[in-house]
Amino acid sequence: MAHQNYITHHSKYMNPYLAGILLGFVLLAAFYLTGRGLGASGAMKSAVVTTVAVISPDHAENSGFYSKYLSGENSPMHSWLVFQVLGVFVGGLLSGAFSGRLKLTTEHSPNISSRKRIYLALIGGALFGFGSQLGRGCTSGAALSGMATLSVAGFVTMVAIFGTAFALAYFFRKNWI
Amino acid sequence: MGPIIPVNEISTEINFLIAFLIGLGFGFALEQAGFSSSRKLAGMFYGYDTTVLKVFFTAAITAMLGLLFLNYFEMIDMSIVYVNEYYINSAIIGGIIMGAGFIIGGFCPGTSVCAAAIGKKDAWWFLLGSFLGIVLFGETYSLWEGFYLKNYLGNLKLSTYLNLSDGVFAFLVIVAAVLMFWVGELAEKKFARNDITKEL
Amino acid sequence: MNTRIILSVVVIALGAISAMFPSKVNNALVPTEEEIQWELRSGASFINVDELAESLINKDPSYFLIDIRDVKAYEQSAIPNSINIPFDSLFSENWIGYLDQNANRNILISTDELRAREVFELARRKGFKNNYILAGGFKAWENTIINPPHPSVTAPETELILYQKRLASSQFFTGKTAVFSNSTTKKPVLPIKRKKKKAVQGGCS
Repeated sequence: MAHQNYITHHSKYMNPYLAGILLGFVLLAAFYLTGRGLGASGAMKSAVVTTVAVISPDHAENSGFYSKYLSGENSPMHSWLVFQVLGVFVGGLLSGAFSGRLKLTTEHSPNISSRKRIYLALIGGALFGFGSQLGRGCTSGAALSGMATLSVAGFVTMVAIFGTAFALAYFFRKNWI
Repeated sequence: MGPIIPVNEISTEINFLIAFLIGLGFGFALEQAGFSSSRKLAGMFYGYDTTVLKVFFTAAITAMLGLLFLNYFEMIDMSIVYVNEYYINSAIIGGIIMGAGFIIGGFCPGTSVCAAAIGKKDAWWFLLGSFLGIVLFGETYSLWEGFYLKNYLGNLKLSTYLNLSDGVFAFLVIVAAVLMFWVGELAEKKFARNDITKEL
Repeated sequence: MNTRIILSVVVIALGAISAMFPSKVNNALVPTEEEIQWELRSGASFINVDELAESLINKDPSYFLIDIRDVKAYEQSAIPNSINIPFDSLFSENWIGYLDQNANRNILISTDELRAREVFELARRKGFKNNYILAGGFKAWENTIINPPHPSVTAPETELILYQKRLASSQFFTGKTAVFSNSTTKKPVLPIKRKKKKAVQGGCS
């Protein structure tokens, strides 16, 4: 394989425990510096709210959901999480470049076509997007950061996400293995 | 004493710069761990690759221990640190919907950004899907509003709820995590799928 | 396999140590005892009588003078424009708002500086900022500004200049042309409340 990881030299990915400790320190730095944890879905919401407000300002003003995020002087894009997610994108890109993983592909099981994989990704994304709004955060914002501060919401969300995924794994096995 | 930025009332511009740098580290760590691959993530639920379990819990207990130590050495004021708000119903149902999204879509929002960055087209579609999901929630918000705001318990900590000290509770989480790591290692042997793991 | 056992033991040991931590809550606004003592030693929390006289003559609005001596002493003589809040009532509900604020620079005046230091320390322990001590207290005010001592014959020129300046201030505060009189007490207006600490807004919502 052409892949070579300049960090681990052996396997393509960093040792998971080491990567976990690295991620843990990033999370700890976030708490120590800013008093808040990591997140992802919040930035997507900012993008959605901004888009809706541009397309139909009246509609956004009248909606109980969008208007919550439009009350301030600044655009919802002027938020902490938006900058953090931009960082995630660049960080991912750097890491991919570092380890020789930059490649345009659609990753899927040989049992399904890449078209089917894309449909599934779209549906899965929609469910995740919807769920993250209802659950006030995704795997990073609610589960991971929430667990680090020992919040009930963090543990409950984590158990709900992973529990459901395990419970449904059997029905979707063809898509993955 | 931390958290540095809110305590010292540092300007938002610096705060955003810090956000970007923290995001950089977050993205780098996620990608290095292999979270940019949906089949590696999905391996968690079939046992052939338990990286998700290992990374997720190692990160959580590292940060948890870090916060406890910082608090003990009087380096952080935990009353300023954000503790997630707990709304019983929406946290559970939201989590269940996200779990379904995870097994169908193969990413979560954070990992999809990472995967999108290194050229995974399925992650682009996942991202598009999550935007649509948020729009759907926004458009139908009035239907869920009551449910969304039901049974609010505030910024509740599980340790407080169980009447344990934060340290004792963290210790129990760590013991549970170590047990899970061992189970994960065994599962990787039992459910090994070399045909898949070799490709990733 | 060995590394795994070692790692497991290490992380469980760290967890066991953290389990023994007492549940305590830190307050970022309250400095430690060493920090308070350092603030006192460094002199940054003091203002000397010459600086005070100058700022009073220039009518610097940022200063707020709190005389913490008892009413009797205050009525006998006091620094112009100071208000009297005796030490005993300073930390009562009615008056604490004067210490706990971020609008003015409070100058604490006591007979000598001891009581003012005490107030400063008590206020810092509560996390209040913007309080300063008049170095030497009211005694220093009387002995240097109101009745400036004549420098010795051998004193350098700078001291002579300082003396002349003090004489001028003395005339300003006591002379017929005085803008202030001792009985003018500013109608105390409760200053703006200090911003209280607030938890960070976070999460994805």
